[in-house]
Amino acid sequence: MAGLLYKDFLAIKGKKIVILFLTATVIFLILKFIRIHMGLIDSLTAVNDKGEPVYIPDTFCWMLICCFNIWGVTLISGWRIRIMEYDEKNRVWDYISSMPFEKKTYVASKYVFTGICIYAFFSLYMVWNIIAMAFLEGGYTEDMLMFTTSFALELYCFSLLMSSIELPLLFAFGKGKAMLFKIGFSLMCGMLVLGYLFFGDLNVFSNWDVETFMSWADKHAFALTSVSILSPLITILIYFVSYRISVLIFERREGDYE
Amino acid sequence: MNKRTYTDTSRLFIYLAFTFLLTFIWFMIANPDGKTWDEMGQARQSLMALGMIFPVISHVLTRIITREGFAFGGSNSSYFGMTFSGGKWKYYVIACFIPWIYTELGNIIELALCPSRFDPKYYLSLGIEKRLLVLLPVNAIVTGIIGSFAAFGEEGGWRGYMMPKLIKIMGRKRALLLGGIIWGLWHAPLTCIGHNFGTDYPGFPYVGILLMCIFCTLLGILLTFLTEMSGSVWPAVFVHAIGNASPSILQGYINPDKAASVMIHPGWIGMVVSLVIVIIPLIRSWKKSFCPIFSVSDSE
Repeated sequence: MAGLLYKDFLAIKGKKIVILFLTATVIFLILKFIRIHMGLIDSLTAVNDKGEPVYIPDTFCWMLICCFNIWGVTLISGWRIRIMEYDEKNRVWDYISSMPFEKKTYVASKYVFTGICIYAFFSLYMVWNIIAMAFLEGGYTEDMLMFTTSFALELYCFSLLMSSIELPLLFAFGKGKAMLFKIGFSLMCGMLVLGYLFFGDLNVFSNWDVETFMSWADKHAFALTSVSILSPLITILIYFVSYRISVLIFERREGDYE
Repeated sequence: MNKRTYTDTSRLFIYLAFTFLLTFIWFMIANPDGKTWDEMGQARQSLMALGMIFPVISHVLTRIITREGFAFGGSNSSYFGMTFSGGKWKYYVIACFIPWIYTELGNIIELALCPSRFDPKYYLSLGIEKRLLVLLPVNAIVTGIIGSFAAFGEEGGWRGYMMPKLIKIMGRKRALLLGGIIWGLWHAPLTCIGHNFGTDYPGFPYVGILLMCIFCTLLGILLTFLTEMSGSVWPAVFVHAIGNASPSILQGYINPDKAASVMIHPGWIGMVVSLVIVIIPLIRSWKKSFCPIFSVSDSE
């Protein structure tokens, strides 16, 4: 399987990506230590509505990290499709089938590769978050970074969940049809939401505000904490079930060609 | 043109030089004002903890400089891969649960030594609901595995490079002892700022460094066993990461601020004794098994 994983790594131009992220991390670290050494520059410091001083480069760091998480999830989605497209275009399976590889090993390699990408992105996010939060000593930016941390794990669990849905479709229909299905489904969801907004009863949202949500969260703190702790386990379980489904689909798909 | 050839000993020295140099420089940069561990906030502690990734960076640098290559399996492997076949999957399962076992056992021993530290309401001061205490070990296992990149940073170097080289050079028994001492000494800067044992104990920081070396030797036996039997550093990574996350229900009832009735840190005694209890059956199993991956010298 190491060979299959390395093939996928090269298909997404992995070496360039690794060098890019490592370089970005080193630059981020150097900038952070320069900022620590030079201290706050008055011209780059503002005051928010609560009267708290906000250092603009720190806020920029927070926004960068927040966007990195969202960008990472979409990038992984793109890589998932890219590795399947590469194999279809180069008829890789025809070549691999002449080697002693089981079909489930080939399917597993896609799941393992996607899992490694999600793990690597999450790890990189944690490193950048640690660097960004160092020496902040409280304040607005630290609060926002903590806020980002609170949903980062759930965001990457969502990425794993999306992989669980998308990979069986890619194995069943190939890249072209799976993309059409995905776009069609997304458009349908969007149309449903728009339809509800135009024609539905919007009074249900009139009582929704942050305080209502916070009091609901306090009332159900145990359930929310349990879900938060167990969500990675549940997501991994779903991911494994998705793998088994993909193996069944892929074996059946090959049977049709015969 | 003659290319320089490197022996295992020279490669090991290069690796250790990189590891100690890079990590110690990092600790100095991350703590320029010399604060103790308790004086730092969580953010600064996390920044210090990033120094854990330097052993694996040193491993990679050493392989590049000495042109050793990056095999994922075999006798000169980096042990970065994962293999589940041949019954090796059970070591990954063991790795997920054994930190809970030895941590809980260690806490029981600590309470037996210092009953005064038992505080039935201590979990309230930690802001934990009583019902959530039973989820603490699960939380530690899940967050440990997900956030295991830092533990991979350490184990990728110590178990992935140093221990195989030491075992080749001097045999398993001496390698386990020396490897533990090296690992304990590498923690010295953290011990000196009170990371593991605080700063107010007799003989600070030398006694702390000695205690750390003993602890690292014992834990190193467990981690090396798992690495050798599975052919991968990842079980050791999981043990390390989950252990750092303190998977224990009893920790909600142990108040470390209460005075200890023994001279040596009772938590350390508990962990050491529990590790010895866990390691004894492993050593017996180790002696019986044939492990071709870690080649042992004729003197073993």
